[in-house]
Amino acid sequence: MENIYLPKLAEIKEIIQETADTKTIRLTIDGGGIDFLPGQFGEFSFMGEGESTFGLSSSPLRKEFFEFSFRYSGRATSGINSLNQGDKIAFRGPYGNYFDTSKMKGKNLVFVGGGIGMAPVKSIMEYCLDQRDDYGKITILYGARSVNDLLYKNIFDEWKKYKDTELIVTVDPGGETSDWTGKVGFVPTILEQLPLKGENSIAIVCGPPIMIKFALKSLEEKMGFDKADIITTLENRMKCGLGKCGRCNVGSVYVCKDGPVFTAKELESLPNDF
Amino acid sequence: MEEKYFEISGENLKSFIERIIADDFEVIAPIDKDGDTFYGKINRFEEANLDILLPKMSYKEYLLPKTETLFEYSFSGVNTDIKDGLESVAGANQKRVIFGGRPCDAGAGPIMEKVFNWDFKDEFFNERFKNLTIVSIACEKPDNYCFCTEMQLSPESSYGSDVLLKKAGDKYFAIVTGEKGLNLIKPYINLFKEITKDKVPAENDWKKLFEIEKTKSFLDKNFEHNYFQQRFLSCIGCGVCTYTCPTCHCFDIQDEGNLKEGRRIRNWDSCQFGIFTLHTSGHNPRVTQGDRYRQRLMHKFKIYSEKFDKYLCVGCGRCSRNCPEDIDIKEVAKDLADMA
Repeated sequence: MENIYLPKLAEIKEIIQETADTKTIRLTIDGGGIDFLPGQFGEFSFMGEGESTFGLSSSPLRKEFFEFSFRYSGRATSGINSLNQGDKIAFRGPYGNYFDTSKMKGKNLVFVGGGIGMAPVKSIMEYCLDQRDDYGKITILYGARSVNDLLYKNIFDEWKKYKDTELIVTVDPGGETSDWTGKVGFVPTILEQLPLKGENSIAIVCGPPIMIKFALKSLEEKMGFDKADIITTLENRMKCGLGKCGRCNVGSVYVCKDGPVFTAKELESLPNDF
Repeated sequence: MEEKYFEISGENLKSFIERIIADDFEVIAPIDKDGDTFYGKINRFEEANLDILLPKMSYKEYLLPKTETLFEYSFSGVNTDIKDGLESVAGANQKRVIFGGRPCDAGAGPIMEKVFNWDFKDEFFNERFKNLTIVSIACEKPDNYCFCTEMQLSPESSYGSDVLLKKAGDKYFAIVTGEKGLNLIKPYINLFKEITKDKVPAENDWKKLFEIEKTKSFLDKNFEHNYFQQRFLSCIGCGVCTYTCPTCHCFDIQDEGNLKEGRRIRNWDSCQFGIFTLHTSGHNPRVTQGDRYRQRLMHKFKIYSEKFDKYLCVGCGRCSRNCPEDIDIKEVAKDLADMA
């Protein structure tokens, strides 16, 4: 008889301090990663401080570890933040649906991430980069409020080295530093300026709700993307991740079970409950 | 197993209950306490209040306790020990009878069972449910808050009961719906007299005030309707509707403890609280009490029924009876049906 709320203990292999208040933590269970698909999430906790929900941010093809990125802001994340390399994190998952990569094969891909919303994008993006030959041109657009709020700076060069892959990094106006060489502008604005067309392309967009709203508009109205070819993830407060605790639903759809991955077309049919 | 039918005198019913208590069954029945009536353990038949229509709370807590330990943890050096909370549930009292509840409360068990077994199986719920035998009593006089008939049950429904008793003068008819009920009465079968179905009086023709399918069809199309914002302006978000509801099952998961040891627990939660859906960022998908009461209506009359057929409501009316603002869910469901 299985207790579905019982976590596994995962060992912290590496902690990357991404920004002043965000970290990426790499974990292993029984010395390796776990089986999951890009887009899925888990429940993470330092026992005694409560669980938090985070998307998995590594490529599932990189089997030696699995990772997540988080901002510390409450009790549960402060608990996780207090841990060191070698400590244990309680983990449940993976849960939820995933990006349908069969639909993406052979297509041009544009990955759009905003702030910490880059974490789930990173998982599917690195998954595609790991099988680079299966896809057309890859464009990565990543934006944050300021240069100091950019995650994954240490691996930007790694992303760029793949063939036919372009990385554009932008910060909101006012968030640039004197030595900043990237773009300055909101993500949807920069997105519209890119020479991308909707034909034979798939867009993956994750970030704060306001960014998603305008990025979707840009992609659909200005760039000719079909709603079914724009994929995003929803975040709602969760407790169980198992479709029982009753709080993450958007209309009849449970983000933890039917999501978190949805196409813009699917979002269109949902009520304004997220 | 096909239904079986029995007759039992009032005196024999008393003997039956006292004998199962003597045989170590834990019998839970409506008992008078603190000026009200609640489900609780009885040691003698007379302690059961069989005249009350409905106890203040349902017996939901025997399926989903207000607080339940999911696991305990302790740290020693670099090691973490985890003690599975399911072990104590699985090893708990195997012989528990709910006696004297009403058909609405009985209907709630199988309705919640679907949620707790949708894909992932919640064995905490399943273990408790498996160990309950439900002996209900049909209602003769539902009150104005009752609407079980609209909710596809009735004051005489046997859905969810292992044994349904129907009072007739100083005796009862007993409808045994399955193996569980039969196993309960078997050792005491001499107290019962088996009869054929035609000897059991036919069900009354209970009238419906509205069609719940119409309520659903309104909800299907009118998420943004201003009825929700207007009608629930008076709602103070106390959550009593969800706590007293036999089918509301939404829960919170919290940790309790320190750096040495503690436990992870789940507690009853309520969709009527603003914090229920509050994001870390400060964003809240359900800002107003109208948004939150709409969620409760949506969950009960639309979302659940789309997933599992039936509805997440048994029409007991507790949410209305206990509401400090006198919001009557039957009236609300009727309003929605009328607007459909």
